Amino acid sequence: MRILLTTIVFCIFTYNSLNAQEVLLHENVASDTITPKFGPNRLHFLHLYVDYAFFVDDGEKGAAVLHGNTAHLDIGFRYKYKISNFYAIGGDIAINSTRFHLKQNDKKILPNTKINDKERYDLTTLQLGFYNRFNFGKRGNFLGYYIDLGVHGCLHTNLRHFTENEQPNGFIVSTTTSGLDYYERWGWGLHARIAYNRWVLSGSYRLSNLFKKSAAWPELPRASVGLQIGLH
Amino acid sequence: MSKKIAILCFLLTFMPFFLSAQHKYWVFLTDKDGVDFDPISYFDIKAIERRLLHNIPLNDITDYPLNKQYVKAVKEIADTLLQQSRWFNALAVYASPEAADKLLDLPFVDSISPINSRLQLASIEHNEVPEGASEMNPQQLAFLKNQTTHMNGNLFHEHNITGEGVRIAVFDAGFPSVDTHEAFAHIRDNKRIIKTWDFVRNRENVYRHSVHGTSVLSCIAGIYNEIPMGLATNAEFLLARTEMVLREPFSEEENWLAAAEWADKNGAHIINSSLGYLYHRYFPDNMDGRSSLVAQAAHMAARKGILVVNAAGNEGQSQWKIIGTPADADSVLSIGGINPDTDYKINFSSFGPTADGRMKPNVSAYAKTLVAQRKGTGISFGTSFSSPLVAGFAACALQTNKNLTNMQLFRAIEKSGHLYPYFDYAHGYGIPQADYFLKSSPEHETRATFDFQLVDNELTIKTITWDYSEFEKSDTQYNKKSISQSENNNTPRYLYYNIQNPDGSLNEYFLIDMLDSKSISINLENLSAGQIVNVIYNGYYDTFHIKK
Repeated sequence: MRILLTTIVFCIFTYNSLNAQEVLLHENVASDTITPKFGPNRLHFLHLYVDYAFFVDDGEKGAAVLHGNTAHLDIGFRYKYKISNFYAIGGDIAINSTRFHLKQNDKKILPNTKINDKERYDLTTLQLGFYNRFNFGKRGNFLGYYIDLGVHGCLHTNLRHFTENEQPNGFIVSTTTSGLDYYERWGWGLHARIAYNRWVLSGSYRLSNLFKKSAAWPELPRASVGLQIGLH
Repeated sequence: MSKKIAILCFLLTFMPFFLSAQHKYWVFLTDKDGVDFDPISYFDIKAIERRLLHNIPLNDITDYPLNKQYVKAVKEIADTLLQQSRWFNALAVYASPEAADKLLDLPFVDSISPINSRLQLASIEHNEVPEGASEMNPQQLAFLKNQTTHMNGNLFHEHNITGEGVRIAVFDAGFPSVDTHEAFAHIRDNKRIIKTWDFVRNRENVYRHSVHGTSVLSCIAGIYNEIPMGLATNAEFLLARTEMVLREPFSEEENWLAAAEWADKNGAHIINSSLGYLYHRYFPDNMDGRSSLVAQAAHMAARKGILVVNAAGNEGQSQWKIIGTPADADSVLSIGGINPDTDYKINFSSFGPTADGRMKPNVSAYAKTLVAQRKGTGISFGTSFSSPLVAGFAACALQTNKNLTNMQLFRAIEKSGHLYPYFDYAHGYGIPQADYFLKSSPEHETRATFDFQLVDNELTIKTITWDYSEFEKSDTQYNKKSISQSENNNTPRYLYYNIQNPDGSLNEYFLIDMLDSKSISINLENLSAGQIVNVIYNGYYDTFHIKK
C-alpha cells in the first residue's frame, strides 16, 4: 500500500514538473526558406487517381458489347517529373478492372452462340504507363491545364467469363468460369489525357489483342473515354 | 470500321478543348496622349479631401481615363472587353492567342500578360447559432462582447468613436441579406451604404450570392442584440462584389483592381479585403509584394491614400503555410488570426514573413467570431473575420485624428499592438489596442517582469513576481499591454521570445506558456554575435544582445 502511494505521489510530482512550462509555438524561419522539391508544379509530384471510362467502339463482329455498361475502373498512383514549365514526363501504375457486357443477339459468337440473360467478361489487369506532359499557361504550385500523351503496358492477371440465366422454375443460375487459356497475358496501348488540375478527361486505345490468335475469337472493344479524378 | 468509329469518338471528345482556346489577357497600353480629365467631376468629395490631405495632385496621370481610340481598336480585335484600369493604363480582355498576337502588334500596346488566377476566401467554417437574440446564452453574449473588447474597443465606444465620417470599401463575394438583416438596420436606416457595385456581373445589386461578405461586413459594423459585432458601427460603406464563389472559390484579380479604382474614386479611406491569391498562380517565393498584379494594385491604392486591410489567410497548417497576396504587399496592413480561447495565434492563420523577409502579418485579431449570416448569426472561423475587425478598429482610430495619413495610421495601428515593439511572424505586433489612440491616461513606466542572467553560454530569462495588489486601480498602465487572458485569469503566463538577426529579420521565435515555471534557458552556443534575443512577458519588453 505504501509503495502504491509513493508511486502515485511520484507520478503526480513528475507530471507537474514535466508540465512546468509548455512551448505553444516554435517556428524556425531558416528552415522554412528551403524550397520544397515536391508539389504539383515542383520537381517531383506523386498522387493517387481514380479513372472510370466507357468503351466507345463496338468490338469486332460477333463480340458486340452493351455500351454504357461496358467500362473500366482504374485506381493508381501517378508520378510526375518536371523538366520545364512546359514539359514533364511521368509514369503511373494502376489496378484496372474491366467489364465487357456482351450483347446477346444472333450475331454473337464469343465465346459461343448461346444467348444468355446476361453475359460478360471480367478482366483484371495491372498496368504500367509512361507519359509526356505538355503544360499550358503561367501557374503557381498547381497542375493547371495540360495534355498527356503516353503508352502503357499491362499484365492481364485474370479473365473470367460470367453468365446468368433464369430457369423455368424461377431460379437464377450464374456461372463464372476462370482459368481461361485463350487470352493473352500481356497487353499494351496508347493513352491521352486533357486536364485541368485534378479533373481529367482520359482516353485510351488498346493496340494488343486480348485473345490468343489460336483461339480465333473476335476482339472486344479497344477504345475508351472517361473521367479521371486526381486525388491531391 | 469499329477502329474508325473509335478514333472518331476519341477526336470528337477532345476536340472542344482545342476549339475553346479563349484566354484572358491584360493589354497594357503605352500612353494616355490626348486624353482630357476633370478630377472635380470624376472624384467624390471625400476622394478629393483625401488627396489634399496626402498632398496627392488632383491631376495625376494614373487617374486619367484610357485613350478612347486605343480602347476602340483593342475592342475590334479582342472578343470581349472585361475591365479597364486607369491606374495601370490597361484593359482586361478575352481573346484567342491569335488575336493576342494581333493586339501586341498595335503600336500603342506596350505588353500583354495572361490572366489566370484563383482566389481563396479567408474563411473556413460556419457554425450556426439560432436566430434571435433571446436565444443566445450568456456564454455566447460574452463571446460577442469579447469580439471588440479584446482590442479594448469598448473604450472607443465610451468615447463615442464609432468610425463616423470614415468611408470603408468592402471587397467580397456577395452581400446577401445586408439589405434586410437586423444586424445592419442602423446602417440602412441612416443610408450609410453609399454605393454598391457587382464587378462580376457589372450591375448595382450586390445583395445576393455568397454570404461571406455579409459576415465580413458584420465584423466591421454589425450590431446584434444591441452589442456591436465590429467597431465602426457609424462608418459609411462602399460594397463591391469582386469575387465569384462556386464550389471552389474562383475569381480573377482584375475585379479587385477595378474595385480599388472605384473605391478610390468614391472616397474610401479604408479598403477591407478578406481574400488572397495563392498557389493557383504563384509559388510562395512570389509572395514578395511585387510579383502579383493585385499587390501592385494594393500599392497603388496606398499611394492614393487608402489604408488597405487584408486577411493574412488560412494556410498556416497547409503546405503553402505563408500569407497570400495582396497581404504580402508592404503597404497592406495584413491581419493574422488569434484564437479567443487561448489568446494566441489560431492554428490555421498564415505565417509570415514575405518571400523577401519582411514582417507579416502586421497585427492580429480574433479569427473565431460571431457573424451575421443569411438569417441570424453564426460562429465563423478565418482570418476573413480578423481583417474586418481591424478595419473597423482602423476607422475608429482614424476618427480620433482625421489628419493621419494612411501610412501614419498603418504605423500607429502597429504601435498599438499589445506586443509592440516585440513582433514575430505569427502575431505581428499582436492585437491592436484602442487606448493607444485615446491617450486617456498618462504614460507609466512598465515595471520589469523578468530579467536576464548569463552563466557561461546559457542565457536564463527569470520571471519576477510582483504583488499586483500594491498597485492602485488607476495604475492600469502597468498592465496596459498584457494580453486579455491575463485579465481573465489574473495569471499572466505567456512569454514570447525571438532570436533576431542583425538585419532585423527573425531567425526563430517561441511562445511559451510559463505555467508554474519561473525561468527558461536559452543555449547561446548555436547563436552568433550580433543576434538579439527579444523577450516580452506580461507587458514588459527587453532585449539581450549576443556578443562573442
